[in-house]
Amino acid sequence: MEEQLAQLVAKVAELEAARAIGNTIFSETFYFVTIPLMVLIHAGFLAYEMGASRSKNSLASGIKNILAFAFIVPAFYFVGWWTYWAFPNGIDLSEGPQKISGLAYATGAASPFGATMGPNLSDHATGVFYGAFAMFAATTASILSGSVIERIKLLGFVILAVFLGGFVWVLGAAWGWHADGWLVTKFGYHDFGAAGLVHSVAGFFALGVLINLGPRIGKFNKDGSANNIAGHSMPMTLIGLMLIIAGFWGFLMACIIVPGEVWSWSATEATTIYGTPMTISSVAFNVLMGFAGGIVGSWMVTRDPFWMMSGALGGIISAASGLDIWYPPMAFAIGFLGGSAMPYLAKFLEKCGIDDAVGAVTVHGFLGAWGVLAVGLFATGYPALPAENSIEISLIGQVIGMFVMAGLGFFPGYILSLILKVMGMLRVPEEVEVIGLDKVKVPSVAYPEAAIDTATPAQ
Amino acid sequence: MGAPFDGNWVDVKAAYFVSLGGGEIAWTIIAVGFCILALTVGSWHEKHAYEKVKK
Repeated sequence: MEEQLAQLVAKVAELEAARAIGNTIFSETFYFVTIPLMVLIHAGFLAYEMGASRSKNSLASGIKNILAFAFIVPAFYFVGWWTYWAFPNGIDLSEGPQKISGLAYATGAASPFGATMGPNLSDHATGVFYGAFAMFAATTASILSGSVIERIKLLGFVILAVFLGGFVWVLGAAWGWHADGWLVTKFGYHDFGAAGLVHSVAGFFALGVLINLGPRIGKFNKDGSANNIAGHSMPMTLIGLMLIIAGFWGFLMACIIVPGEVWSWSATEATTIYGTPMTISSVAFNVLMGFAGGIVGSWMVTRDPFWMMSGALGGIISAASGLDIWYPPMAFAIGFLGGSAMPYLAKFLEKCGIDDAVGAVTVHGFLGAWGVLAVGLFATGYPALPAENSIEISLIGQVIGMFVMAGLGFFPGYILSLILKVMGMLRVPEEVEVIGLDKVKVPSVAYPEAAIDTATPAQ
Repeated sequence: MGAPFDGNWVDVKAAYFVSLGGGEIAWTIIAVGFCILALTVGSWHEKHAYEKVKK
């Protein structure tokens, strides 16, 4: 009997160990898969941006986008990941209430010189989390990248992109996307899908840069009226937008904390990054509904395929902060309102003399802010954290968060781009802009057959 | 509008979405209403676009 009991205990222990390693490998794979899915976002931004450029600038736009991605990855490794864990409780690097933040914690868990930041058999999580966050970082840089096409200097752009992707948005994530974040613990800020801390921060950073960069030559007439500078390939732009949207499923998947690991919030349930319970199904419901609402809303007011696909993106961003809690028809309605407002907001910016080549400030900045505000309007009273008697989501908390994210984006973008402008590192010379950036500095040709006579003698 | 439960997450074991238990029909009407509005505006525009060509 005793022997049988011992065998049973050993068998249970064996099964438990197998379950644990199965869960660990599942968790590692879950986040690993989000990385190539999010690379689709960058494939999309690449196509979007190149298509929205005139053919004389298309490769230069592509180079800029690819290079931003490449510089963001090490910048996030060396600075960004540590910043996320160091700053949640404020800029004094102190430890937050959950004790998973501050100088000591960040240095132990996320220092580029530490044992967790490389191959390590006892750590199946840090690499894939770093990878997913690095892709969020690259997304912020891509948002900036599209808005400044056809006239920004490459070095100036890379400095701006690295600052935004490696540090600025990470501060927003530390403050509002972390259980120790002061916006969360003090104001109940809720931004599940990063509408504020990724999209709004990047969109308003782009606005700050655009003010100093100025419009493309020919964008505005002397009387202030605007001309449409059409990109060379609307189909490429539309496919790019669809790729971005496909990648968004990876982006939002990475916003979920899977259960059953030592770092999980729950042994049995998926949670948000704040630790509040949720299901992956809620994301499936609401992303699709927000996506559809954004398309329908923007189609209603423009009937333009560019704005319809931007509306799809805008619809998801509008619903993003509350994807874990929306009733799906609400996500549709919130996406619809965002999608239908978007073209008017873009016109307003244009009237203010801002030349945002791809509507990034509108789609990401304004609709990101709308997404944060929508949670305050419709979802007050939800506990913001899993603990009993936790602070609740409130309108005032969301409004404060909305302004913090907008300001966190705008002021660093404005100040750094002003410094670059004074140093002559921001804008390409006028004559280069007229000739086209590809001809001046790119050793390849985008469309070589279009440049020569390809007709055969028989023709 | 707001959370369909009081207190904390520990008590939540099933549906927890915004508007649960009263707002579903209203939000469904709003969402469908937006679809009908969009189709109405879209068809109006399409009709005028065709008429413009005829003229």
